[in-house]
Amino acid sequence: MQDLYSERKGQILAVKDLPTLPTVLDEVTQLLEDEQASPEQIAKVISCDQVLSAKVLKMVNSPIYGFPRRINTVQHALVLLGLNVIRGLIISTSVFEIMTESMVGLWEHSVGCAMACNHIAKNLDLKDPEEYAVTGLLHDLGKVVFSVQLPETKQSLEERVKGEDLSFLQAEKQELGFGHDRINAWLADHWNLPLNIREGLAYHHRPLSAQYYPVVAHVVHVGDFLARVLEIGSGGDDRLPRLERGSLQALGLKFSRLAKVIDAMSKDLFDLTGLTPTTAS
Amino acid sequence: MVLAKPITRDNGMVLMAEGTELNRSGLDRLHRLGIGHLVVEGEPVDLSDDSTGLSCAKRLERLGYLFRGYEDDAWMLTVKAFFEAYFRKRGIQRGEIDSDKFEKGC
Repeated sequence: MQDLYSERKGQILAVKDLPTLPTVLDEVTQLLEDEQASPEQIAKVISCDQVLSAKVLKMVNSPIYGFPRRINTVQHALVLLGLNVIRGLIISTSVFEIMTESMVGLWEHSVGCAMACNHIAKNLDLKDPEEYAVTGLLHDLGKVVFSVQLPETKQSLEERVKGEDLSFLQAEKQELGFGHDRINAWLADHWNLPLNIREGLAYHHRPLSAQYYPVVAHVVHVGDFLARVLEIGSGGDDRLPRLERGSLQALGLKFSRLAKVIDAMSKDLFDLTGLTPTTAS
Repeated sequence: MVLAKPITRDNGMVLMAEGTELNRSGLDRLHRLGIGHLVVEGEPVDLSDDSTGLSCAKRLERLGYLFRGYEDDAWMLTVKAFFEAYFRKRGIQRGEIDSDKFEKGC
């Protein structure tokens, strides 16, 4: 069993072979480890890849973030959003670019979750709401990478979801022995993502178990639930995950505040139409 | 749907240029500015729905299906009741749901 687990983990983490992952990502990750590197240097590296820059700026200027003025340069985006958010955008747009038609719904669901996380964080006056949004955008990345790396398993998993009316997570656990939340943790380590984003990715289905940044896990958990109730895209199944009461309590998010979050999301939903991970829209 | 003629203030200042792609938030902004009418070209935007294409009435109908499996879970039934009340209220506000019908027990 352990051998099978290791084998599947190895197959999934062969993610560096994905054709759409830009070399810029490695360069940016390396620069991150260099304490001498300046934001200007990092912006310059990203800007060298024009297609990638366009994709990042398109996301930065989307209703997910809702900035009142257009952001035209990567450097400006870096200053406003921080490197963690920009790296998250590079990863999400690049990985989702290889998605098949069947995964379009997952992209839409991820965008919906990102928008929900942004509005929840803003409603609660949390610092750096953009980091919550990008964590929401990445929260199902494990599903995309797994689907691309293990396509045969994905097919039998989808049959289980439909045939047995299971959630995607339940089917993953039955088929693989682990869920996309575990894959998220591997990917976060693989790309050296900061711990707050890692916690949101790894614990969005078990937010009460998050140790270091439980607030991020709670926000993504609630954001994922809202995106599902509002049926923005598809998370791979049409079963609602159980909403943890402890998450609402931990965040101080009463139903009256939740209603305001949904109101804010509803206004932005229309503007999300046509937002894709590619430069063309 | 794009703006066929620019929207200007009385003093001639352009609020929105000709050719601007109209979306819901843009139309809401114009409404708040007191713009009563505009000239457009292209297909009309349905303001009762968002990008998911679901009205509040439709969402209300879907809740039973979405919350299946939680029939014995008191907390999730409370969550469901919140969403029912939310979509019903917004549906009535948007004129999608008849409030009289609701008060009679629908």
